[in-house]
Amino acid sequence: MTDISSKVPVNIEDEMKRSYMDYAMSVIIGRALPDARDGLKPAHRRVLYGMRTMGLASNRAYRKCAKIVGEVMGNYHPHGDASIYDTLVRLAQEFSMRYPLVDGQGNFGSIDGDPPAAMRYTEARPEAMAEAMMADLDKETVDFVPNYDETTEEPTVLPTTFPNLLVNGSAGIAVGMATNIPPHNLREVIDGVHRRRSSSASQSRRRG
Amino acid sequence: MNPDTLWETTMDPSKRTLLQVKAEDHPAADLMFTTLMGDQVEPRRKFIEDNALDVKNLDI
Repeated sequence: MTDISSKVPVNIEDEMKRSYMDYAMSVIIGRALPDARDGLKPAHRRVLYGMRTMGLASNRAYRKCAKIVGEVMGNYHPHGDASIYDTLVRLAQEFSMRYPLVDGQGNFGSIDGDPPAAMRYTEARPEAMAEAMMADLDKETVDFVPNYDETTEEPTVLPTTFPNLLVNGSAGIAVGMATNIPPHNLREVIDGVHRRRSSSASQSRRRG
Repeated sequence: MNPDTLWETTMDPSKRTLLQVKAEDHPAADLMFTTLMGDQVEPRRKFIEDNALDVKNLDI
């Protein structure tokens, strides 16, 4: 070999540490665990944002799920179409979500485990709950970052108007840690937020 | 990936990086493997939490 001098020596424990931490943090942040602010994993966020950029709305016509999946995969989520469709389906299942974020038209499976129809048969649009998570998205409320091929941008988090992490809960297995958060009643969570805000406000008044 | 893209990004000797992995401190290497891949979860979780902010290459 002519270029032996270009070899970079590295200790195996240092390389293990770097490779493993890159992998672990990618899974933790980028895949398996939700963001505490909007309660969404990146795949969910991309599906909802993709539907929004397609112009879909809870008071407009359904669109074919294959169209949505293609939009999300091409613009934001460079992964398998089956996993994107599974994500979309789960968001629409009333037995999976305390408050579904997607309104599905067609066979989206059953609680007994019957599979949903293929994405060429089913249609979807956002639920009003999802629109409440993306209201004011275009008013510089959250940071945007370039998408995977830098042809457009995507939000790092949604400016949700309700605490979706508590309301819909979340479950996921990452590396070295996992999460399992139960869903909660929306009204009770909002009441709790008000209680919390008014008590901390009165406390700060007392402190002067 | 087309052949010329593979050449530009990973094969070209003038641009590629070859890592020569060495195991000199065997106890340290063994401890690292046990922490990262052993059956004890708590030390792994602590290791991840302690080093989370040093991560530079995130694949999201």
